[in-house]
Amino acid sequence: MNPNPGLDARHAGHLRTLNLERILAVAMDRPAALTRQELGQVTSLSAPTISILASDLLRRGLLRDAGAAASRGGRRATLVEFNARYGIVLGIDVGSIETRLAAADLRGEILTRRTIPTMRAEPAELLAAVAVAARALLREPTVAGSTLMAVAAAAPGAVDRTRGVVVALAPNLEGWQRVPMAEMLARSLGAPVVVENDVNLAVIGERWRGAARGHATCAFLSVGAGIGAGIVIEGELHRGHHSLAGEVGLMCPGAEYAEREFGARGGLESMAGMKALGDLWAGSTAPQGHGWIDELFAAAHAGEPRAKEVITQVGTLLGMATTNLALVLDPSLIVFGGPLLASGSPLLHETRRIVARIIPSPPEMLASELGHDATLWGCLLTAANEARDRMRDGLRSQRA
Amino acid sequence: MTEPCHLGIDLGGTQLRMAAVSTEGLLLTEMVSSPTGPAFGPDDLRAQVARLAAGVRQQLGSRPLAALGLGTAGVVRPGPLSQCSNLPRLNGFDIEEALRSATALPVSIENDARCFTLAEARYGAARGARHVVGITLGTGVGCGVMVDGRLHRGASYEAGEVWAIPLRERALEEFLSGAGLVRAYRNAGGDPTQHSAADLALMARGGDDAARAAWDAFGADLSFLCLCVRRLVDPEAIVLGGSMAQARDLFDELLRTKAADAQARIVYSALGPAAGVIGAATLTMS
Repeated sequence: MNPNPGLDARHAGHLRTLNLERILAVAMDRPAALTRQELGQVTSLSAPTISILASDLLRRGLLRDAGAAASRGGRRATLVEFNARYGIVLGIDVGSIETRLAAADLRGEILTRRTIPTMRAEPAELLAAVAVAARALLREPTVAGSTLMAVAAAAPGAVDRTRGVVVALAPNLEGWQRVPMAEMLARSLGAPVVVENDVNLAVIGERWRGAARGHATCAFLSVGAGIGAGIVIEGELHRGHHSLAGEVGLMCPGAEYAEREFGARGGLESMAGMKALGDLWAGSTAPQGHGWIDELFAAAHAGEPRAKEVITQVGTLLGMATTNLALVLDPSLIVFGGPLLASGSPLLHETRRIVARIIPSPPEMLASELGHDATLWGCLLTAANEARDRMRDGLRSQRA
Repeated sequence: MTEPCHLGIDLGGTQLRMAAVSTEGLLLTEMVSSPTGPAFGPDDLRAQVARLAAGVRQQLGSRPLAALGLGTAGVVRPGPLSQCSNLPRLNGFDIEEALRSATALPVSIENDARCFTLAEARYGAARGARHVVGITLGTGVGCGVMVDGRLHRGASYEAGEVWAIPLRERALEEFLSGAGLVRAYRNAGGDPTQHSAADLALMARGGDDAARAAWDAFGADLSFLCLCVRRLVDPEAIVLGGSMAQARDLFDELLRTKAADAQARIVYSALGPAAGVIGAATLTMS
């Protein structure tokens, strides 16, 4: 006799939910479709259980039929796969010049995208314009009608991830102190929003599908208008105690500069960021836009002495900062990115040369493979993971 | 039933120290020691550890030892020791294997600055903090990085090798060390026969200008290092220790002006000379 049948029923319901989650997790992690038999092997659940639970997930639309497996003589097994079009996610990289948006399926594969100029305006106005562009993107035929399940947005500043607030240090976007970016975007887009620092997202992007694939401990150093590093330690993003880890733009370029006041931009950024490079190269006549960077790099490649001198001067500072990063954190790889350290940049070459001169066996140093899109890809993976977490949580709360 | 305790060994350039440590991080025996030095080799290590461990066991009575942890300078990775400049004869020698056979205990080995950091983060000045950087100031400069409560070793076990940080065309350690301090003192016109950091501390306190200048330079370079690790790691606390941190009165004010603010606590070792032994023993506690 069972003295408490109610408890057993609850227990059975709980077990069923756990098993549904396990099957869904396996299907989500598999890039390809799989048979029910394979699902059984991975989860160690019996064939009848798999059959019942897979049907349940198919009915909910979380899995979908993927045709028949190749025949192995007997009855052909049918394949199932994670329904990556159960909904969509959105990635938004708010850069200081351009804002990149993309809608993707739940595996993070892009369905449609667009790039707009970043409005020079107050945060509220700028984010409203971003939301307008996002809603327009969501009306594109490839994604119209899909449920937006999660959004990940990148900000060029320190972000309190748990609250989605840009806390400070976005000197390249005016007025971004304590901006509740996640809340503002969530309200206008009607979906949960994750906000993260742009370079942190860039390292996530490069680990997913760029130069840092397979590197558990690595960093992404971005040099453009701002200078920052995204750091991954044993597979986890390292944000630090005040979300300020990797703010190498603030680094003191050397003990001899300890007395100097650099202001909000910080020492390294003031001396080796885009503005510093522009001033060194073109003086006060620095033209608008980025055309001068190509000119400087071309002149350095051609051996023009003044261009080479500028590259050596700034490359030395960047090389020493990179050396410090390598010595303190010992990553297996440092990925360089941003407009000044893009693939083929003479500044990248000089930075790498300095590091190799100081450290006998330096970490691997590579140019970003994803270029301008590194952060956007990081957004899409983060949003897809957020959506998938919510789907698994959803199984728990929907349980009868 | 008595709870087992853990043997901690701090293998330094001048002495080897050992004590038994409880899981609360308390010393259960006296700290015993024997001298080391440049000539200290593998046989010395085996013999001294066996001899001192027997003494510790005697002090413990019936309380059993669960495991042995050892901290040493140099790069510690599975297999033989490397880049240990204090005890060059131990380079290429598998300490872990030798101690296991000498004591019949499970053995863990770690870089000494990481042991210091672990001890101070678990039981000392940075107790309770998840992200901690420990900096040891002595013959050389060592650094341990703790991330989310765990020691960060790095992809090739070389995280925290801050001695090599470039500074004024040289390595940081050429300035941020006992020898560096003495050199700065001589460069400031000080007495060329002085060669002890402890004496220079006394002289600076007594108003000697050259000694004062040397400690100021030391403080400025230490500020630079603290700023550097702050920007990279963003720890909740930076803990300073080692023999030269005992002269903190000579650089603390400078350090606070230059390298500390609301977002960085700079604190000093609470465990003192026992930190290395406690941290080494802590390695073996799960």
